[in-house]
Amino acid sequence: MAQLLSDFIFKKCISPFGHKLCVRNETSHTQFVKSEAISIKELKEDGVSLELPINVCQKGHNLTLYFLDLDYKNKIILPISGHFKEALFEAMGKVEKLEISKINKECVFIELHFTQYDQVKWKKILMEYSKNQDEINDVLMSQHRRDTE
Amino acid sequence: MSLAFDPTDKKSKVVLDYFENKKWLILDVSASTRTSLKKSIAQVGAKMSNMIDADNFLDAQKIIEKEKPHYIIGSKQINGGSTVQLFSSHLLAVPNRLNAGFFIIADQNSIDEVALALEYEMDGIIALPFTGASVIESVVLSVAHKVTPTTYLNKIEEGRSSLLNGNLERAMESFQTAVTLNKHPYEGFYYLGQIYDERELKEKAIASFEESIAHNAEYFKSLNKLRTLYSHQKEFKKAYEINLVMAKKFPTPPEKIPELIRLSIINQKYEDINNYLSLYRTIQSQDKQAQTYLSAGLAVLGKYFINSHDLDKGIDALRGSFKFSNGKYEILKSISQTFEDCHKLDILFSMFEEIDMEQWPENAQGIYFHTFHLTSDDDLKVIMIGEQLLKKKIKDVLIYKGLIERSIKLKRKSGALESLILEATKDFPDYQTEFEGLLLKAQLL
Repeated sequence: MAQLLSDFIFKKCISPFGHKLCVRNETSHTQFVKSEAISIKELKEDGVSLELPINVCQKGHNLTLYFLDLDYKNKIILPISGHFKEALFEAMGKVEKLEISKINKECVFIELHFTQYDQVKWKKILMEYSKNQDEINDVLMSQHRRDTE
Repeated sequence: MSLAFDPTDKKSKVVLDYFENKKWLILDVSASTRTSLKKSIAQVGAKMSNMIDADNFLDAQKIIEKEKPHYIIGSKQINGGSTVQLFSSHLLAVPNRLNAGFFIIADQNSIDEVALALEYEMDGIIALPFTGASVIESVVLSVAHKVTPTTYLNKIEEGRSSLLNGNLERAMESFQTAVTLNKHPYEGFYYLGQIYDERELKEKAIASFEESIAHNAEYFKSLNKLRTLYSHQKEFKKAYEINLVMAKKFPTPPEKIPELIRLSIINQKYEDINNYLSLYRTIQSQDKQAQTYLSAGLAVLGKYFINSHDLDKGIDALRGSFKFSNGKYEILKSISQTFEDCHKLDILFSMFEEIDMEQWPENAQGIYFHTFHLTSDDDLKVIMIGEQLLKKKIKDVLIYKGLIERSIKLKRKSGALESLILEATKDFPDYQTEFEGLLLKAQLL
């Protein structure tokens, strides 16, 4: 049977990838569950760099960071303490750096260093993001020639 | 996960040597992100002393002009503009791309950026969130063909530099030589096609791009040119086939969706057309721009089904289009026209009643009013809503036309009618004749 455009155009288009994030601040005993206002900038071996609203935390605060499925649709209600069973991954960490965004004064960039987390699960998450990057690289690199003289 | 770059490995020496004297410009609004990026770039052999960083567009522009950094890596959005917009300045500053590169760090769902990188000469898209390893890997992969370029690639580069300087004759000579230097010179034929295209020699351009893909069936730039040229030449069957090849290999930018749906309709691909209708329900994009393109595509689809007298499918597609429109005026106008043509505006009106228009742009209310005007028997309410919109400074030809028609119907005083027409003409002088025509028609009755 002849192949059709409709078999392909939606497959690689508009397919979101990533996680929803929310935060419980263990120092100020507050929580921030507006996941759309939190974005991850960098994933490190034992931490993350995040962009989030200015009032969520201060330098030195201890946070618990929750990774949720991107399709998670329920209202996020974090427990006052302990685990959030719907989270795919959670890590406790300390805010080591905090910098006010120059683009949006209501936002800050923070570096969160993980102090308690499941290293195996974290590696798995890093692998997922790495796979996404590999897919992008594959498409771009397929355009470059490999022949030598 | 792919194999990590090991600077101590002997095979890595060519990469380390290549980057040893390359200047870098690092762009990000966050100082700590810039530091992270610098640390990663140092791993591939670049010296910290050769790295300049900036957090804003103006500084970046000045640095590119003055320092001519070989490589640029930057977050898409920086203070005062987009890093993407710096790409053309960088091409001019360092035309020899064998010694240069450009990387954008973009949102993880970087479909648009991937398409952009493919279309131009960008070297990589690094998805957010990035890792040190993903930066290193993307950079190393992108230079594999640059560290020891072949005679063929050097000739291509020579031609490209001439092309950038506007010397088409010289560029042509370089590319004509280049295509004799390699068994599969697909880039050479692409650039020859480019020159023919610029000289409006469309047939020759098509022949060159076809020759290019005969050597590499997945070469994006030639495929992309062919899809445009085939459509312009009304070779819709070929345009469909080329788009199919591209859709199988590359992500489809959402803005192409309406065009591709049109192409399926022109080519009478009925299975495609029905597929689009069922597939849109599975899409859960949060991206407003992508939703708008999908909506525009569904509006085209809806119109097709209505014209083919398949009302149920047509209404289904138009419902989808309305849902994803985010109140985009042009799309709503098209939906409204299609419903008007099949005398089903009452369905559109009920859709309007179900949504919260506060979330939409104000001008969407012009289409809402038009729909209300054409479906309601309540003259006074139509006039009241229309006048309220005008008071809120929501001006639309459709509002004025509706108000004039209803005022005539209600036999409002001629003074009031004339001042309404005067106001309408002041806001939309191009429609003066049409407005006055309505009045004339009323006077004749």
